[in-house]
Amino acid sequence: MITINLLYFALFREVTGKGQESLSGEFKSPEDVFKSLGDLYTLDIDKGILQVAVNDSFAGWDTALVEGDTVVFIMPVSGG
Amino acid sequence: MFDITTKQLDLDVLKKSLENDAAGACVFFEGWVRNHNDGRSVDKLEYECYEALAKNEGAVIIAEAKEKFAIHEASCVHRYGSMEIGDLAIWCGVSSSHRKAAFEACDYIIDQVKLRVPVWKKEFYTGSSDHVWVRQEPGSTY
Repeated sequence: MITINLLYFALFREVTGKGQESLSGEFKSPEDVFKSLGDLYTLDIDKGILQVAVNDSFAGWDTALVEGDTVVFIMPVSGG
Repeated sequence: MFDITTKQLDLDVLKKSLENDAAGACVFFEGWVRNHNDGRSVDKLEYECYEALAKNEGAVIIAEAKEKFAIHEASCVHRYGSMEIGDLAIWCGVSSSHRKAAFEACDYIIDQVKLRVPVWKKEFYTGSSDHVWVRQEPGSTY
C-alpha cells in the first residue's frame, strides 16, 4: 500500500469539493487511482478526454507510482 | 520566457524582454476577454491553472519555438483568476531579424499554449446562473 497526493483543478475540484487530498491504496499506476476516485465521487467524466501528470510532468496512465507521488488528472485545457 | 500570474500584465516590461540588437522585427499577440462565445453573451471569465506544470510546459513551448524558427527572443505570459470583459488574458511576443519568422513563431506559441498548457477557462453568462468550463477543440484557431 502507498499514499499518494492528488491535486484537483477545474471540474475535478468542483466534483470533489476540494483542491487536494491524500489517498492510500494499492495504487500501481494513475489508472488504479482513477478507478479509486470513481468509488469515492460521482465522476461523470470520460477517462478518454483526460491527461495525467505525475510530479508536475505529463505522464502515462501506466506510470509506476511510488510513495509520496503527486498525481493530477487533467481535463481538456482552454487557456488563451 | 514563459510565466503565469494573477497580476495585471506590464506591457512595457514584456516588450523589453524581446529586445535584441540583431532584431529587425517584433510581433506580439494580445488575447482579450470578449463578451460573447458560441452564440452566448459572456459577462466574465475565471481562469484556473495548474501552475507548476503550466510553467514547465510553457517553457518547453518557448524552447521549441526558438528551435523551429529563426528568432531571437520569445516571451509569453498568461494571467489567471477572475477577469472582466476587455481584460488582457494572455500576451505572446517574438523578436527576429526578419518579420516572417516572428509572425510564424508567435502563431506557433499561442497555438501550442492553448492546446497544451494546463489552464482552464470558465465562462459566466449574461442573465444566467449557468457557467461552463470551456473546452479547446484540437485545430481550433479561436
